[in-house]
Amino acid sequence: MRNKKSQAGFTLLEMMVGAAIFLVVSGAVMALLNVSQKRYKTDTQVLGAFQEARLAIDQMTRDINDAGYPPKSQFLNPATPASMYAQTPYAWSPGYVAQATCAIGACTTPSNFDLIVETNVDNNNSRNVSWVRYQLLTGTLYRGVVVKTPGVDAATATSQPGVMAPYVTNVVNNASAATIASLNNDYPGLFPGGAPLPIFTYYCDLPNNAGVGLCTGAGVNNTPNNIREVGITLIVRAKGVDEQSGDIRAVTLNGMARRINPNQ
Amino acid sequence: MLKAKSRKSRKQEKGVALLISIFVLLIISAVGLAMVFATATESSLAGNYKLSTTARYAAMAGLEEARGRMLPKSPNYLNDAATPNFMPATGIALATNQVRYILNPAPGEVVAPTNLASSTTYPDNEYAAEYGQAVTAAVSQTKTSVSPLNNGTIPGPTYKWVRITPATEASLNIDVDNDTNYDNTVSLFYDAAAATPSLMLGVPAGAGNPATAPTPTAKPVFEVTALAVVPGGGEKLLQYAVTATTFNLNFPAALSLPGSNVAFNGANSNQWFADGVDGSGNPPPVPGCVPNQPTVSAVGVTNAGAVNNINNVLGGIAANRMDHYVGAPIAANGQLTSPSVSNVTLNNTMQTPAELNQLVQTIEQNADLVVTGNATESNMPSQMSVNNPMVVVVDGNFSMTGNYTGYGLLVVTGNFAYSGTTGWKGIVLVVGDGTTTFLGSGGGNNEFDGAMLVATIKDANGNLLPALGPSSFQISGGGGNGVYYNSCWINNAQTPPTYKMLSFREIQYND
Repeated sequence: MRNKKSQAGFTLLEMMVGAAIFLVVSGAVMALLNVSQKRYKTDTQVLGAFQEARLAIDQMTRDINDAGYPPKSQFLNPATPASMYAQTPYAWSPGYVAQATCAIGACTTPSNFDLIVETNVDNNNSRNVSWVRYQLLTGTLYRGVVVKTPGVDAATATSQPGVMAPYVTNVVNNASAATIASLNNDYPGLFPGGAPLPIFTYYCDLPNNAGVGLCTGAGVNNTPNNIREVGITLIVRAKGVDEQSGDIRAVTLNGMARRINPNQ
Repeated sequence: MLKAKSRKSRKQEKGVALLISIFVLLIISAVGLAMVFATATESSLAGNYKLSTTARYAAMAGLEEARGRMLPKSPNYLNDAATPNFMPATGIALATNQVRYILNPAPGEVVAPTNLASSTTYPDNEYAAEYGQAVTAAVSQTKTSVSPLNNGTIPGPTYKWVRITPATEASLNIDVDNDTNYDNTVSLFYDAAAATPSLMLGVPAGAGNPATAPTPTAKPVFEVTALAVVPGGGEKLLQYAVTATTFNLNFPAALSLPGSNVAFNGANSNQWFADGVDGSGNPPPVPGCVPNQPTVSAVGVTNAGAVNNINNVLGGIAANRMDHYVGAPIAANGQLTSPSVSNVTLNNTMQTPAELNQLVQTIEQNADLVVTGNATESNMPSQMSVNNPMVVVVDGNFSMTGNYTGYGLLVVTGNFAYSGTTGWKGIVLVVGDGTTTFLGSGGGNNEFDGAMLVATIKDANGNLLPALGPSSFQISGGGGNGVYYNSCWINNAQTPPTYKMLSFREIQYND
């Protein structure tokens, strides 16, 4: 009697109600889990983009801080080979070999998506100046370092095979009109006027020590020699699209880097 | 019966509720953990970037603190009663075995860059890489930051130490003279007044002594290196090469009288001399400086127009006092010229009225004191002393009497008059209008050591002249008060308005 009583289970109704409640609860949990999994995947990609962009901005800032080291004024003897000093903080193209500067806006480099820094990247170990180039090509920001060779065009030297290596992928500063439109839809005002957004914005020394101003402005010493500050804007999109909404996710990082070395 | 059964079955289901609760909790925790994990990744990424940037700015703050405190006129000048020899006098280099630190420990922390045995007190291993010997082999002096983290409600910058050393070819890893030898025993100098300003090697003065300036206007170059370590691991080592900017004044004569027409009336006193030999007379010494520049003329004039200013000056010297004007040129047998009165070329900042006017304005902007209107010695700053030369501009006439001695750079934009046992150690520029007059009525045995210039840059109405105008130099009475050329005092008078940064680099730091 006692044994039978203890074996008495649930009624069918009880089981069904119990199962239904369990299903509803676990269904909700699963749905939540699914959403968070998608979020996690997308956010990981966004974070990856963030990470790459941050590293790049940090490195660019350091390179620009150091631009023009060592200046020519560190050397007394005019016979010192030009590979040992930075003739200018930034190399340019065209006209670099002839030391005929170009106006910013008309230069091939420095330009909105291309910059060559002339500096000694590790002075304790090397006595030679290098060219450090950042160039945006079809969605990937490339970085390349090559030892300076006097009498050689910096843009040509850095364009040799094996110099430039991918540094930040999925950079959308100058993406296609369709991508820009789509991004502007999700992030209103990200691309003002729907036009590509320069990575590099240049600020030049004004005449008579009057501070710095946009290099394109009037009354500005508008040459690569006089670039004092470089505004950096990197817009990097996540690798995939947002799994929930199907939108492109992008991160924008802004930086301002100042060249500390004096004018040549 | 039914009641009893129901109670019993409920009792048995108790365990199932626990299981379900545990299961649901597990799922929720998993989701929660995933979210926490994602957030944690983001914070650590942001953290790394922040540390790197914080460290960079902290090190920059250290560099700037040192650059500012190297200036003698800084209220927190590195030389004080406790460390009177932290920085050498203006224009003097540090010997290459000397090293200076400014320490900035956090509360409860020890910063000891010279203790290479301890890895936790921020040892300066970079020194050995630059100078070829461990920092323990150098003579070091230390000072603490003006904003130590351990006293003050607003935390200061978190750099650990700043090192000030004399720059050498080896320390900068720069072959200044392109001889492939990276010299480590000669301090570098920078001559901002050169046609192509550049670093240059100093003149060696024996082991343990600072090298001396290779040209009159060259100033020593210091290397300023800052280490910042931010809690959590951000670490930066940044370096400046800096040099004092001065007014780059040097003089081709003890007494320069440039201009169109000089009226000269030399002293009859047997005590009065104009001497172009560096360090002649009895000047107070400038610590660390040996007057060793080439001899200049006693009196220098410029040859403006048809007037022969040399004859004007010679005509004003009594026949028996010709030998009181000694100086360049030196004959082959080493004999000095007397009377030494010659045509000279002044610095390119002092040749025309416009240049001199610009120079006066530059000095005025950086002066310790500007007196508007006529002034006497009582208007001079009381802090001015032999150890604290100052830059003073008198915008008017200046006269000094009694026993007064001034030290530093004095600019007078009117006429100058002295009497009694007065003198000046440093530079006196009398740059006035109309006919600038220098009137001396001496007595006693004071001296003007350094250099002096009297010129007229404006007409009587205050309009800038196209060329330097007439000036008048008249000495009467007895006594000394002569003019003695002194390169040390010329340098020492030009307290630097600022230390100019010549180059900047980030050093890859391995500790």
